[in-house]
Amino acid sequence: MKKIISIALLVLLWSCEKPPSEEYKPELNIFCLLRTNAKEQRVEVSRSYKMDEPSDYDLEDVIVILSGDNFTDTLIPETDTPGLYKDSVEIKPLHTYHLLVSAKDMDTVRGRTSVPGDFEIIYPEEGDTLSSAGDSLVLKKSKGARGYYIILSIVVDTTYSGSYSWTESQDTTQDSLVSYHIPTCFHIWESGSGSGIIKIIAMDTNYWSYRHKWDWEEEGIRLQEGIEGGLGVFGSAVVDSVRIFIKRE
Amino acid sequence: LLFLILFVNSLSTGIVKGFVSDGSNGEKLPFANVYLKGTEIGTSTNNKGYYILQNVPEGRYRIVASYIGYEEFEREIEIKRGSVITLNIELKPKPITVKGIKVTAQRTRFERSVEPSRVSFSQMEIKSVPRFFEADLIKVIQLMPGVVAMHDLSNKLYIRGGSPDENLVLLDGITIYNPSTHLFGLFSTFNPDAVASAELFSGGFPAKYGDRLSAVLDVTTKEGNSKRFTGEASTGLVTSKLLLEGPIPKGSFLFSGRRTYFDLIVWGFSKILGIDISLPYYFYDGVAKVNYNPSMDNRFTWAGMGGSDVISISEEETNEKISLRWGNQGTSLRWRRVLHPKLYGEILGALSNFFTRFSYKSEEESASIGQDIIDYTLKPDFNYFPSKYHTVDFGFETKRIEFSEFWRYSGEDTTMEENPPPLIPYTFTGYLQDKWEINPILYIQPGLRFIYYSIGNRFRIDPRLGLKYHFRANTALNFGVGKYSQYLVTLNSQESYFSIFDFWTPVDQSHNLPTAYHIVLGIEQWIGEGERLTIEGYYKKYYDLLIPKDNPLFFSFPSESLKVGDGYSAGLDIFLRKSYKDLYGWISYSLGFTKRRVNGKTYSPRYDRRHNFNIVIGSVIPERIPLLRKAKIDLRWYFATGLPYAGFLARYRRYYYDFKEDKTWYWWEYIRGSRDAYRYPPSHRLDLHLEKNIEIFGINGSWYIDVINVYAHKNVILYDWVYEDFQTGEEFDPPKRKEVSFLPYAIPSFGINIRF
Repeated sequence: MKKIISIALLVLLWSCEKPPSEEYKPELNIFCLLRTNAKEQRVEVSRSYKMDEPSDYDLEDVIVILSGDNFTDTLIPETDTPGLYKDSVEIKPLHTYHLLVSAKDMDTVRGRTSVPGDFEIIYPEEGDTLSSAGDSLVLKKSKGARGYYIILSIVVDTTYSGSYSWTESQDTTQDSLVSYHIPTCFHIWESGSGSGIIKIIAMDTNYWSYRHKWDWEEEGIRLQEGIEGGLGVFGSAVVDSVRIFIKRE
Repeated sequence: LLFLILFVNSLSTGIVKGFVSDGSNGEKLPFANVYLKGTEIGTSTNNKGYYILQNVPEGRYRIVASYIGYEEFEREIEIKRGSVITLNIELKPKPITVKGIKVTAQRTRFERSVEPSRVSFSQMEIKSVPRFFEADLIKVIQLMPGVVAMHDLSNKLYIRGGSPDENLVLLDGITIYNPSTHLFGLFSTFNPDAVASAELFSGGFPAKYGDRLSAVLDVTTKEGNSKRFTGEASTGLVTSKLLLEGPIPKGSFLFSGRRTYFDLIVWGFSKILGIDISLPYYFYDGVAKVNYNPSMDNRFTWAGMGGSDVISISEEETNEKISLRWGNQGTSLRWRRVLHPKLYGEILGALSNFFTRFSYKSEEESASIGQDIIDYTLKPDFNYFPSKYHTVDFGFETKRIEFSEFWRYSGEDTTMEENPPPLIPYTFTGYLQDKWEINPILYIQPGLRFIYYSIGNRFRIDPRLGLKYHFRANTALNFGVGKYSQYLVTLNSQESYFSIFDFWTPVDQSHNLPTAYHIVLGIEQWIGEGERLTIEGYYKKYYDLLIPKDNPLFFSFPSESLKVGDGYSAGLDIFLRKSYKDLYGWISYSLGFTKRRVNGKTYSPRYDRRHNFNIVIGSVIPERIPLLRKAKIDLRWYFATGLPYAGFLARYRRYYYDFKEDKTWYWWEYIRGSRDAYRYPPSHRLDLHLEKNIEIFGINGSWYIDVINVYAHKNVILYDWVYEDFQTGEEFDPPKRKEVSFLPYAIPSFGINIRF
């Protein structure tokens, strides 16, 4: 019996495992989407937090620099919103921009984005009436855009006080035009009639990937799109819009 | 030529052959002991109850047949040269024993079988284990050594480091692709009333079985009472069941069915009270069986099984209807024949289908989507007894497995549909194995399994070897080694806590067939009738495993949804089945290590449990205790160390830009550690089953009460990070880690049975 107990104890001892210990050093977390036609550009700067740390904006000596072909701007912190930095620079299609963010005791983050080219809304034109029974949205595509994000906002609605729907589409073809079947992409039969705005955003690869990366993987994801040295995204988008009227049929 | 050899061989001596069955209901008794008294001539029945005593010299003998729980049979017979005596033996059951359980382990099987890593159960054992609302075969198997349940509600079998899709599950020879589909995976498709016995081979299984890498669960339904008409009706909190069986001319029949009934009760209340409530879910299943014996050596068995889970939601105002159905259905015809006293054969033709259907219908549009796995099997099996030292099993299996899927959409103006051509792999397998009694203490069983798989025209030979060495009168060494191949895999993760059913797909041309090698070495100790101790170590090496990616595509693109890996599992299993005075039960302990390697990364899968301990104890309450006198009480307790998980190391804000409102917002994203860096705390639980026989107005029956998680222990299945108390509105920064448990409370259930 003693032998059996000894063997059993040996087996149990052998099967014991060391408690886990995984070290993690917090990183800078950046969010910046440069937009054409925007009055100001924004950079959100924070960091990652260990699970037992409070999520305070406690970074010190933060420097945020945005640079392009002919400028280098050091961004100013927004006093009312911790972690937000702004710049009034105008963003131009098909230009490349760089971002540098540093803070005390943190690794420096460097980013780069190439703004997609302009696109043209061929149809509808400003003030056109679209039919919910079957109509199309036609774009002359942007050069360099990875995909499009399209928003329909109905402002004055005969059946609803307001509605909002959207669709996303990855650009995978070589054609110069792209077309969207309007009832299918906007579920217009649920939106009713009214005047509205279609806003189209052509996204660069960085922001497209950032939007479409999900936590499927067993080991989680590290969002790191268009940047090095930290977490987050440095992306860009070209934005255009058209006012229309939706007629429900 | 075979028959000529058999004929010449049998001229100089005589043969006695026949079946051994239960005299009360005609059920065949596997592994019953049959011998000639005062000689060394003896054998045991095969798994269909057939026996043969051969090379018996001329003379008068007393033949004896015995089986635990039955009175011994003894009769005089006379053997003449060249004679073949057919003697079908019916054993009378003994009066009900105090233990109340008919154990299936027997001395003859201990002595003569070469079956490492095998455990068998009778129906009574399945029904005796405390139940979570319903008696369930899979839940009982989870108490066996080497078997891991991922959590308290799991109905999946992780056997010796193998995932559930590596288990071959057979119901009367029909392959069941999704055995645990009822109530979103909580209950198995095996109605315990219809199950006669089940055998689990957790590794090193013989050449007779194949097509899977890890284990075999072979479930046999009852034959149907050929002596008298009997029935059983029962109702519990989840289902009501009915079992009918009885004789027909030259045969027997059995029908067993069950259905959940809460939806009907809710429907009844809604009609009576005039309120609009409904429960849009139910499940049902049934088994039917007819045996016909045109002669003593012939038997035809037709069987049918079917079951489905149904979710059906109707909205009268909008005239919309959503329906989701899934289930198993199948039919088989089996012909058993004693072709020659030394050659027993049977041929099985079976058709089974696992189906899923989703449909949506409104006044404007309709949509439907569905998948089927249709399995056509033709399978002849033979037992050949060339001499008393050899038992040769051989057979073939042809399979055509059809994987089909479709979707349709029909709107006011448009109709779209897709019916891709089904994937149809064919397999042709054959096996040959010989159990060779080298001497009374050493048995070996070499075997070969041949596999042809039509996708990629692949041919394989899987060798197997089993050995049993009785180095003491009551102690034997068991050894098994073999190669195992699998040609069907699943597209859904086998590590998820819940899945209603698996998405199976055939291995395509771009992948090698997954392969495993098993080696098993153990000791088996015979303690007494129905009592034994087994200690087994095992090592299992995997190659070319096809593991679903984390975001698989279930339709049409299996290659893109799978990643290739390898791995191993190793461990030690201990199983003790014992009676002591009025107590009976078993103890199982497993030590296991499982690793997988994908893309150069080695990790422990989520079902890698290091220690697993189960104890099941039953007894009869003494007569001196009022109300409960002679009631049967069963207790089950388990302790298991925690499963691995990927803990959160840190969190960070994931921002989004809102183009409509021109502002940013965020939610928390997490950085995890490696997937097996942490382990949940150990889990344990006590369950209780109390059953008492009753007689009301001459009708026999029983009532039962079950309590699951008697002391309400919260076994942690995951951690949730909470940022706000939803009741008080208090915000937490940093977030609080909250333990989540599937069974945080004691769960009672009860039911009644009547027998007629």
